[in-house]
Amino acid sequence: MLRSFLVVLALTAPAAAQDFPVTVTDDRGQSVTVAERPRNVAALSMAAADMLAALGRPILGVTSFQGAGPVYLGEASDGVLDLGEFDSPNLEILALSDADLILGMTRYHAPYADEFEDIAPFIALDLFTLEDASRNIEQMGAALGAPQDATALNIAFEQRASQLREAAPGGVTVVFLWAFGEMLFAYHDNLLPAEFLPILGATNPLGFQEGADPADAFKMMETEEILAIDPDVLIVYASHGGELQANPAFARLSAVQNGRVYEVGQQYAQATGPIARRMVLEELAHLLYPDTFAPPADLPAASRAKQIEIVP
Amino acid sequence: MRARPAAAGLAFCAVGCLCWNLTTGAVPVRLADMLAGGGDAAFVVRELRLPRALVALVSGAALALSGALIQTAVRNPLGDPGLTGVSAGAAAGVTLSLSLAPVAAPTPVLPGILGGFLAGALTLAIARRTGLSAISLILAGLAVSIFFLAVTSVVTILNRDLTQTLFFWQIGGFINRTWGDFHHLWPWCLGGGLLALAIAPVLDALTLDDTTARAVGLNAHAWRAFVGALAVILAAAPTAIAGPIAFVGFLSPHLTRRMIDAAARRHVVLLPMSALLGATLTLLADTVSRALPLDRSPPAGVLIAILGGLAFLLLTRRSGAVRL
Repeated sequence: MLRSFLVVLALTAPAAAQDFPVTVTDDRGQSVTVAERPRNVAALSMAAADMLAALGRPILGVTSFQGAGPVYLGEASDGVLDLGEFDSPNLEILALSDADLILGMTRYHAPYADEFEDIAPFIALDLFTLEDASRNIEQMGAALGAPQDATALNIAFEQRASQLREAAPGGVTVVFLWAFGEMLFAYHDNLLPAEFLPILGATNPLGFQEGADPADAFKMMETEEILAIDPDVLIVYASHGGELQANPAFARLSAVQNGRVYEVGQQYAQATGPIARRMVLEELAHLLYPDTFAPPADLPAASRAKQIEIVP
Repeated sequence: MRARPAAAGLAFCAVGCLCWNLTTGAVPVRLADMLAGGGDAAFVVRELRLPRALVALVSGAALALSGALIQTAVRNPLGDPGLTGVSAGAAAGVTLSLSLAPVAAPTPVLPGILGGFLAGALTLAIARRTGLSAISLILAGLAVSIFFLAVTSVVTILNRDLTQTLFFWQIGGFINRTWGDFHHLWPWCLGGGLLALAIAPVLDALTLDDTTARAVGLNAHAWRAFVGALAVILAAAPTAIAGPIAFVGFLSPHLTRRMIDAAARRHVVLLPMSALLGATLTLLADTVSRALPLDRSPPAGVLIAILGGLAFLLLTRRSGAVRL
């Protein structure tokens, strides 16, 4: 299904011919010149692999997140080079990969820019917020020689977001929760996917954290805080290993009692790619308002949200 | 100071810290709500705060007892589960078991105890070659700790999906600990603590040199090994549940000895007072950690490490226990 979507996208929005070299200003403020149309692009983030897949381009290699690649991209990510974990990519594999462009993240990869630039032109992107997503898609589109396709992806997303905004009933509270053993963290509104909630008429009780770096806009949570917030829906990342079962507070939550606790795929952790951005928004719309919205049809089964049952 | 007023003062502090801990948290809880026994406030205290506070209390007490026992077993004032490699060994054992069975291992304490035993035995074997002096013990403990920390790091790196979980556990603390954790912890600590109290007269004799101990009919080597094993259990159990908590084992007996007259420093007094002090320290650190108005407060393990490290330097400098 995803491949069909990509084919349709490729047919309806053919890549505009762009003269190379092109110069892109990345999120370090650095001007990066790409001499020729890149054919072997190494993605140090899932969002970059996601962009390549959205454009119907091959992915040379991609990093993993907590040991797993971008499963939600389906066949597009099958058999691509494993470049190691996203925060510590394998430079040796990268050096031998014949990459002609490296798309990385400012936070994790900019400190090693010299090493990457010895291999190929390196573009560092922020990739944390909704605003980053739109800007970074344009930057990647320019570097890949497909600026109009990138703009089309952003326009299509805006249109889809508008449709969902108009149809969303609203009035739902949601908490996004990471569970690392007994340590729980929840998102503020500063970054994706919490930024999707206002689009869907939903609220995150933790709100926006003024002055925080979006990448650090998490709050360490005690279970009694979650109990006090008592969200309607609890979105749990795949990090949890059953700890929620062990804590009696969870059984008292409305979300648990109403069967509205969902474990979500890794696309929620890096939701700034054009495909992840749309899939996450559409799936969230479905999870928050199942009677109004259907789940995204092209989301592979392995990446779909699963309801978690917490038995007291 | 005489032992009784000092013990009463410590007990008062421990109870005060427990009350502060139970009334501190994200949800405002009034004493009347707590006593009423129903509703969310009572649930928060009974099911969330109380088990966490008890885990902190029992962990602190057990670590303090462990430190006191190690100091007696090796007749060395720098004896501490952290400084002798026991904590690092326990942490490596627990990390290995977590990586093999990430979903709440049925007996998380046992792998910790095994790792603690291995590390403690290694430290003793190395330090014994140079006569168990303060310096040899601390150097051997350092080497063994580094080795087991390396093992922990390798296991952490090899399990990328568990890296964050293992990282936060290794920081040490009591956040979101439950009755389940407490039930894993208390039998080991209560059993170890009662055994330690039961052999208090033997421990007094072990503070003498081996020749004198033999003269009063003790098999000093066998008793030291037994006391060391008891110390490992008392350190490994809280490490398995709360992660490595440094310096409580060293500081509590040290500070207790300073509080009471030399004549009163028998183990039957020293052990319960050290346990009370250890419990107070961990409860206090956990409460301060929760009371800090931060989005990401440092867990109790970090606060204790910072304050304990400073106190360790101060105490060793003043007492001249370490001269390099």
